[in-house]
Amino acid sequence: MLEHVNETIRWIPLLPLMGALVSGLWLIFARQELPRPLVIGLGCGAPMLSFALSVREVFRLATAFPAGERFFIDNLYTWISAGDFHAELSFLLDPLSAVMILVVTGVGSLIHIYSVGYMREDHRDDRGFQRFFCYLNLFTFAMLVLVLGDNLLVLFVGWEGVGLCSYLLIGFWYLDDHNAMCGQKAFIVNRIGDFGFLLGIFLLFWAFFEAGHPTIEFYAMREHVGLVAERTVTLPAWLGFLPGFPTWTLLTLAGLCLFVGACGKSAQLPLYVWLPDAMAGPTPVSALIHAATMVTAGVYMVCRLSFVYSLAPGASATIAWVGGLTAIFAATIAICQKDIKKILAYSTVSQLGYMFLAAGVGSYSAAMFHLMTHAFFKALLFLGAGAVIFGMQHEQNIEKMGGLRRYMPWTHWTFLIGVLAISGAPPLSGFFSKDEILLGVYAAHAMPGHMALWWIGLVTAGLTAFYMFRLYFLTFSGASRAPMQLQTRIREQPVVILMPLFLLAGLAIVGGLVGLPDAYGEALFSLPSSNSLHYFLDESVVSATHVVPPAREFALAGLAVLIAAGGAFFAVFLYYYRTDLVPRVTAALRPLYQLVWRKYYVDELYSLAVVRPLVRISDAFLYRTIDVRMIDRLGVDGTAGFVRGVADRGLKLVQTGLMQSYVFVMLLGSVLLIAYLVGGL
Amino acid sequence: MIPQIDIGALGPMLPVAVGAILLPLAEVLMARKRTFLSRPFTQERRGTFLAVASLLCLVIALIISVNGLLGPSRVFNSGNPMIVMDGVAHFLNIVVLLGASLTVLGSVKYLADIHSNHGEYYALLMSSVLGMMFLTSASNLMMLFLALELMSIPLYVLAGFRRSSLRSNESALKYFLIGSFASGILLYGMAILYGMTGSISLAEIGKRFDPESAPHLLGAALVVVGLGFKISSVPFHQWAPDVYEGAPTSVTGFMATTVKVAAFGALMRVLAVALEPAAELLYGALWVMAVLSMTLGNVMAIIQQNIKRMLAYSSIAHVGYLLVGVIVGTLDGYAAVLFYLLVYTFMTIGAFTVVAILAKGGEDRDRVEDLAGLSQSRPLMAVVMTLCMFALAGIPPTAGFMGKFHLFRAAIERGIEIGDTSLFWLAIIGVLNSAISLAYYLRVPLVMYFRDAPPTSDPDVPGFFERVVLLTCLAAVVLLGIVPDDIFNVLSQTAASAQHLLLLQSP
Repeated sequence: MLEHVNETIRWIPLLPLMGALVSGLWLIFARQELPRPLVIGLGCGAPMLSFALSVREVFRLATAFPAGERFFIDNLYTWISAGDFHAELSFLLDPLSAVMILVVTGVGSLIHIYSVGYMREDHRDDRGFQRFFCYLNLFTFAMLVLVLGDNLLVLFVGWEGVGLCSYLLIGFWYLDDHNAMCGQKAFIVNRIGDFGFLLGIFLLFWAFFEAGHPTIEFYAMREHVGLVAERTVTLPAWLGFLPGFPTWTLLTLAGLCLFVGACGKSAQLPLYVWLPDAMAGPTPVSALIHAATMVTAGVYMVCRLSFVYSLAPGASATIAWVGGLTAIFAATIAICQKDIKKILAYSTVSQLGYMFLAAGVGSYSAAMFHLMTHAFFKALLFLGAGAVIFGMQHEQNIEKMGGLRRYMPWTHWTFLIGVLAISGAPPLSGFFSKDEILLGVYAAHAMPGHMALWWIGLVTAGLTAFYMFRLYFLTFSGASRAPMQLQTRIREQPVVILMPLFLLAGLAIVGGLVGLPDAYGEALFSLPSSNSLHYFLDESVVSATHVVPPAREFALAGLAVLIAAGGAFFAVFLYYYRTDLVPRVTAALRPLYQLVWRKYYVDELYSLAVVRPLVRISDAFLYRTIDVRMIDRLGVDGTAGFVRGVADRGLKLVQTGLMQSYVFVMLLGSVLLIAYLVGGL
Repeated sequence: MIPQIDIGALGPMLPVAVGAILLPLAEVLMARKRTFLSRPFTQERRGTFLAVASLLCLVIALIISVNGLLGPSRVFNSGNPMIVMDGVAHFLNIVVLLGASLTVLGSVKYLADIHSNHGEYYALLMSSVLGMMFLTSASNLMMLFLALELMSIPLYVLAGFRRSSLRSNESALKYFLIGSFASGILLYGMAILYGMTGSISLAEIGKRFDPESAPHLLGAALVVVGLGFKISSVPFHQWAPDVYEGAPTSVTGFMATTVKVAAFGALMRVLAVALEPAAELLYGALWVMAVLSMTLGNVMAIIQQNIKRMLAYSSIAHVGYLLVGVIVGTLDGYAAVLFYLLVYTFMTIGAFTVVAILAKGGEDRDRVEDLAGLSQSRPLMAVVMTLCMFALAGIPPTAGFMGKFHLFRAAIERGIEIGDTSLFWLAIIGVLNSAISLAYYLRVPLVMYFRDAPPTSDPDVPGFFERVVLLTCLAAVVLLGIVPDDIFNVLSQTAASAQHLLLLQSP
């Protein structure tokens, strides 16, 4: 009988940490880089070892335990214990975190390898190569802590850790002011989310504390969540416009607060604005952090706390609607963008919206499934885009590309696979995961307006196919629009860059088979429960159950494919056959085009409504009035002035620098002490 | 009856004593050599050699101490014990040795920079460390006084180690004169205690002490004054800013940390064992001292422009926090003091090391404004300084937060247990004071990160040893904030074993 306690788990996050520490400390002490092969061996070796370990442990997890009892726990130590409350530093490997660590270490390792090729000629900063791998390893560590943490506190530590690494890596080329500003934008927007996230943690803990179970451990909370389900809070009168006023369940409130955090981290409306700017970082960073792993932390968190959300229908509906609206909103922006990485960034925002849509309607395993397949194909697309940018000498505008198929055939084929996968072409991975989401939305009868959400999902699928094929044709087909001297220098990338592309392309093709829907399994291979991922994950999440007859399921899938094909066909028509039509179409739709091209003026709106007033209030009121006039002048300077005044007159008599007076004060103190002790003063 | 002597109990002191004796010899022998390994044997290389040698002694002592902490308590002489090597002694010795090691590492380059690279520095340091180690383990009054003087006298010399600097000379002279005065008071108190109880053994005094009798209390009061001077608690604190400011920065870091560690060890032992019968009265007096130390220390720190003076007042405030744990008087309280002393050593030495590195070419640049733009020019130093400031202010998740948390928690728990509101108030005043302290602690990162460096500023690059110190302090400040809670239970047991032993040992 295998023990549930497994002390190997800790090494999965610790290996990358050791990699980061060794290279970081070396940089600090030696003030120069290690030899390149050593940097590469250390930087890539750590996540690869971690991946090997993850595969082994997940395999043991899946095979050694019967369904329903699959978890490993590794308790490092008790961090804080105060009365009945204990915060352990411990890691939990259950099906949910198993999927996450495989994605993080697997896709992460490939991206580390790719970075060797991508960063090799970067000379913007001496020691940059090793610094890059140091940060990348540190990120991998933080992300693994996030997904392996077995309580909210450890999760939060990882949550902040990945935020920090994201900031460091977005501003990696910090000598350029723009990059540093983008890093700060990401950090600040995330702080807004984290504020909500912390409030959510406190609320949840408070609820469990009052119910007599002061715990923040996921499994313990899940066990006792029934005790707090009925707990309500009364809203203040000025919130009277909210639905369900004046009493909400505490779980709804906590769930919403936590979701605010998820909105920040996973770039959902209205906090998505940092992600497109985060593309200022090196492309492997965009692939790893801002597509495959970190931005999915919000989705993971919602799935991890599915037991809360399943009891908080209001919060779930909010998640579904925010997710759905983000999906279609970002997809429309992606249509008009010209920067290859920005298009992929908006596409990421849109796909994350899909995941939240699924989580909101209770199809948590579908959300995780899409998270996984998205990690495959979006990492593939980003890395492909990186190869293109590299080949084009750091040109990112797709209007200046074109015809790259001839110059970079391998990159082109892998990119096409990524485009097909994200568009939902059967039988690639994206088809199955997107289908499961749409099916979940369709069948979620308990959710108000679930049919509207379903239509939103369908339209988004069409839009996705359209903008991805637009991107593909503008980049790879037709004649090259690059300057002549650049054209002669475009080359296919070396193996170290292509190899991760091939592997990811393979995953993007077959990755969907682990979640092959039962209806397909039954029809094709007569396997009644072929959706192994769903059954595996169902132990960790509290999924809503829905039953749709197979015939209806096939029909829905057919409809989705048709719509996607329609989008793709439209792109083929506009950007392949009749490229001459494009300017005419945009001219005809001028106002609409402008609106979308300027990203609905959201950044401008935020600047006008939030940033500038905030700066003005901060500067004129908070700084000049409150800080300078009141706190500084009255408070600090006042106190200091008072103290100084007293010091001038009184204390200076005492703190004179003259020893006689020091001795006098000491004597006085002694006399007082003696008087107190002996005389009972 | 011939008392049984256990020389092995002195194991941890041995390497330090050997170092203190042999280092001046080595200095003399080296002065003759012109070359070493066919390279010129410069003054600087001699200094490095001596530093490494003293580090070796300290590390050996450290290893023996750690072993001792894990093993059973030992007593130097049976019957009327003079030296008791129990858990508390070992733990405090470890803290002292760590502080001393960091000081040695931080001194190498600093001494060369201020042209005071004289070999006797390390010998003096080692003598002082030896005194501290005896002080933490002394269990009778004579031993206590000897250890105290052994600790203090080298420090008087070290404070004036920059012979050419007037400030340094002034600092040494002040420290010496006021120190002698305090020693006199302490000795007088000890004499009275001995006269009244007829014993110099702490345990024996504890048995015979009569809290009703005025002479007994007079002796107790004078002993508290003497030790209050060593920990620089208000109102016996006034020498500290002057002395800290004038002394060479590496010595200041040493004085601000290890001396307090050892003196707190002695204070806890005296209060818990010898003066235990008068505990209630004494705690009332200490309560006032704690509140005054915290408040005055923090308020005065706000108006300081010189970092060393600021840190001096901050250290006075920290004495106030530490006294909270002493006043609580439970095992949890003592354990909290032990933990806080460890944390305090790292965060203070980290801060002083940064200041020492900034002191370039002998010209101390130790105003807060001199840190401007450090985040740009020396990011590592800026990060260490920031974290040390956060830790001193008690911001989670640094070690400083954990330390204060345990101190105040112990106070509140004890307050609930015995229904004493004054302990609550102590905790509340402590927390309020932590808030006040933010005003000056946060000014340091503010200046480092948001002010541009003056064009002439070119801070020194930290040398290898200094980088080791900086990173050690950084790691300790972070790691001690997230260490397992168990360490606290272990410390609590350590305190328990010590108390147990001391009470048993009285004949």
